[in-house]
Amino acid sequence: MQLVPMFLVVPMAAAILIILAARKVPRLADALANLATLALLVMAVSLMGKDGVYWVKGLAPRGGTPIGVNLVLDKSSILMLATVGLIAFMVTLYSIQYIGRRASKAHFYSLFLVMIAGVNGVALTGDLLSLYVFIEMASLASYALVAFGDRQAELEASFRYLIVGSVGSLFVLVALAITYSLAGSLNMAQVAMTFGTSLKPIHLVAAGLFVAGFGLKSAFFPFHMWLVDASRAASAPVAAALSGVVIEVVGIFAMARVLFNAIGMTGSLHTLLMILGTISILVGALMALREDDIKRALAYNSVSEVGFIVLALGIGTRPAIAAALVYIVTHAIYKTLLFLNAGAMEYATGSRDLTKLGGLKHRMPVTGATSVIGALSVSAIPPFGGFWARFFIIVAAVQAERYGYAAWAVAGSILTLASFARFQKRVCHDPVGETCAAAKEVPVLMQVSMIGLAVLCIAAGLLWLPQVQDGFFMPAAKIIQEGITYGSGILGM
Amino acid sequence: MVYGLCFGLFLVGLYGVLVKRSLLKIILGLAIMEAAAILFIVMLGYNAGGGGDPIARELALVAFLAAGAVVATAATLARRLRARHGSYDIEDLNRFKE
Amino acid sequence: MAGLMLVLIAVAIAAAIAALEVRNLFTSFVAAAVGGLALIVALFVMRAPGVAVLPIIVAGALVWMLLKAGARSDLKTTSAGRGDLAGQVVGLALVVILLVLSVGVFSEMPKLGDAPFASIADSPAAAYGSASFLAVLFSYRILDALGVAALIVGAILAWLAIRAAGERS
Repeated sequence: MQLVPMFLVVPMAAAILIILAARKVPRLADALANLATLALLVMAVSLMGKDGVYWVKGLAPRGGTPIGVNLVLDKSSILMLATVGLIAFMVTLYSIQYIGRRASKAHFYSLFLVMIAGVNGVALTGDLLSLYVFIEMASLASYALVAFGDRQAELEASFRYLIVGSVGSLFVLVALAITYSLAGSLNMAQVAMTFGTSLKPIHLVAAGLFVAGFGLKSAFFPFHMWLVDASRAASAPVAAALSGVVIEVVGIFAMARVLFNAIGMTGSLHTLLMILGTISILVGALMALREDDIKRALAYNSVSEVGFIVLALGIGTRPAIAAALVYIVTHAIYKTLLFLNAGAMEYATGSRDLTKLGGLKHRMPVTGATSVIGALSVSAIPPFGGFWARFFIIVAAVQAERYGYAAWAVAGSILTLASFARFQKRVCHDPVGETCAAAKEVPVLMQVSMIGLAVLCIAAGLLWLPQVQDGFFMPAAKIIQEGITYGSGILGM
Repeated sequence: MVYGLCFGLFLVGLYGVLVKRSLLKIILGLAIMEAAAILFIVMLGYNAGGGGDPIARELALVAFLAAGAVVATAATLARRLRARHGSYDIEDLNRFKE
Repeated sequence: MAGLMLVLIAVAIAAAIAALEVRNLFTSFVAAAVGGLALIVALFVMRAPGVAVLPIIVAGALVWMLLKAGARSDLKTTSAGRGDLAGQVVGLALVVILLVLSVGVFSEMPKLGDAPFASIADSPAAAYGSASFLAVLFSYRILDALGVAALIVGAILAWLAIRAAGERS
């Protein structure tokens, strides 16, 4: 149990160490960063299946009233921590050879690690104020990471992202303040117990503001535009981290925690999420179809995927929430892979324009092969992980008798399939264009990272196995779905 | 009623962020929103009698520091953008898009 | 008390609108300063001087920084709207919707000066008694203090990174 604060301490310590000691020594920065992310991954895996609440400074609740701040390790937060650790490690591995001569590795890694620390904090925290602090920490680091590299597009995208993200944070802050005034406490467990099941209009205002704020953070409709510009401008590892980790944990998971466990869901909130989710699915998929720039297309696809997750949360049955969690994990894996692929293509050819990338597969076998796997996953072709995730959500929708939503979800899937089929055709089957003639395969470590992710995409196909479902995802979903009874559990520990 | 006015200030800031062209004014809008939110929090914590609620104060302080860090970063970005392209106008920046 | 607060916030709103709309940068800053002053007075009225001191310092620092950037001559071109009309419409619609939704809801909030949760006997605030908020921050809620410290570290890193990238190119 004492290991829990390490999820925060390790990345922060590494960040500080890197910036102090490794500014002039890029190799040292590489080593430290990768050690840190590997450590996070290993810790997360070793803690799977354990439960517990960690009270900072040992300040356990007195007579049922929490007076300190807590970090909650349960089946759902460990899932997030493991995903974050995995993606972080893959990204830092890739970055060893991707970050070029122009940029300072030390600055990059340390910002990245601060962001990861913030994301871990969001996943673990049981207190609303801490949640806000960690959200800001992760967001601020991510604004700077998008700007990294100083090209005009990056600076501008970073500025817009900063503004949009800060507005989102402010909505969360106001919602938090209202919640505090209604509950007398910032501890999520206690809020849950105080609110009970009767929610007055003002509770719903707070909930609505949370949805708006977290919506901006997760990039679902109508708050999605920033992700497209930010993903396009940012470097591949950063864009991967944004779509793969940040919007999921800082956006969706935090929203789920707050709405389900602290405030408690009501019918109207369910409907709101289902509607926004479905619109996101369709808008994201349609816009992705029209894009020629790979990274923008991937970003629109992320919007669509987030839509699926939000729809599932809206449906709210336990299978739906389990499906949402599966989706978060698999999406993180294949989206990161696809962004790293895009980065590899850009690294080798200098272009992200789809019309110029004809026949790249012949020149870059590893990138090509892994991108095929990634595309198959995202298009939800069985037996890859992406298929199961989407399938489960549609099944859950049907089980809950939400046939209309299920139909729209299927439509969205087909559109996504179309956009990636187009993409694959260009890269694999078209004749080699002149842009690609000179391309060679990317450096080894980048390949390792992509291959690792591709293997996981395939392995994710096993996530439908009942042992996995019952062992990991159903219990995690149970925690979220049980909503405000989470409170008594925490305070009892 | 007072809270409503506070929210009004928040919305003024939001209007600034959404509608204004100059980067500086957008940052100003953001700062106004943050000030409104912090004021709201402090008002919540205000006790007519005693010293005021510690958690609310702390929340206000934290929010302020976070907001300050963000605004400072935004200002740094704006400065870099101007240094590169000579303008704070977001429309001019759009024209340079790659 | 409530009346005084109303006046102060009204002043702040007027100053904010002025600061945003006015074209001349200097006047804009003056308006912003007036608004800021109103807010700081409000904070003092609420007996939160600790919270008020920092804004004063930081506001000063920001103004200095921006002026140093030679921004004095800019903003001749500031006009009211952005190019994308659709975005503008959506933005204004959002603002109006929020305004409409909030009418009436805020009447449900407790009156100024009534600690809203005094009646919630088990609240941590009750447990902390009359400890000052800094004491609470550094003892009970030390994770928040550490988190904020980490955030500031992050901000410094961000500044360093942006500056270093700028010097490089």
